[in-house]
Amino acid sequence: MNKNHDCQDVVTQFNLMLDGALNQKEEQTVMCELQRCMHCLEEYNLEEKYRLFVKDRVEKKCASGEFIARLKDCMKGE
Amino acid sequence: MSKDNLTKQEKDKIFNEELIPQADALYNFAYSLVFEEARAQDLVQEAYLKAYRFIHSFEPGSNAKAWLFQILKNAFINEYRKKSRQPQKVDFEDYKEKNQLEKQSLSIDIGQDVYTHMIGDEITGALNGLPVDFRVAIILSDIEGFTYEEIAKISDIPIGTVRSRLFRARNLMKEQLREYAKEKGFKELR
Repeated sequence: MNKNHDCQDVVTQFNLMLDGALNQKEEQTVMCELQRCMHCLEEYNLEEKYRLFVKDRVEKKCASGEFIARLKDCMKGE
Repeated sequence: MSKDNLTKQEKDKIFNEELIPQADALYNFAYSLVFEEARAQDLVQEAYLKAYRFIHSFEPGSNAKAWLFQILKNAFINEYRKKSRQPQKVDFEDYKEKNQLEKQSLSIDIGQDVYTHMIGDEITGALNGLPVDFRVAIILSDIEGFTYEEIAKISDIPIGTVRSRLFRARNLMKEQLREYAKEKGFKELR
């Protein structure tokens, strides 16, 4: 592992990256750090898996057609 | 076109083309706040009514979803304040604690295999078990895909608080999932 590599910092950075908060250059730096440390790479893979899992599997409620029609009706009086 | 003097037809056009397409996401957000169909519908309806009344302040083509989420979240807070003296708050926001937490553990994880065996009910249950501020953070970021800036605006909190709240929320969520995993007989991998 690189002497200057800080696992805690890499975890923070890859979370920012997964949140879309880093620019391209910063992302490249994070990816380089991940290649240098198996532990960080493993953490990253788990985090990525977790994010996909939450996005895909949380139940999403939908507004019924009847409710949307009611919403539109409400605006008629406005 | 003077935005202050939109005709009914112009308002309806914006409403139908830009605001109504967000109804599913908005309803899902409302339901995750109150867990009752009727109350969720009331919140969504209130949000749409307010949006319609202030539609002149909406820039067509801009971020209708974030605007509606902000209105709905404010409607929820107002409703909550009417019902209790103290709005529900979570005291995990300052940087000191965030920094301490980050030093305590890198992250809380369970093994990948566990995820593949979990069903939607369990992950939804874990999310619904979180305090409302944390639940909102997860929904806005991980499900709806809002940026930190958008979440800060919707939630009326600084960006730094968005980050720390998300960090805490995700770790709490993983703790919940870890409990589910234990109940199912999975061994912890770390």
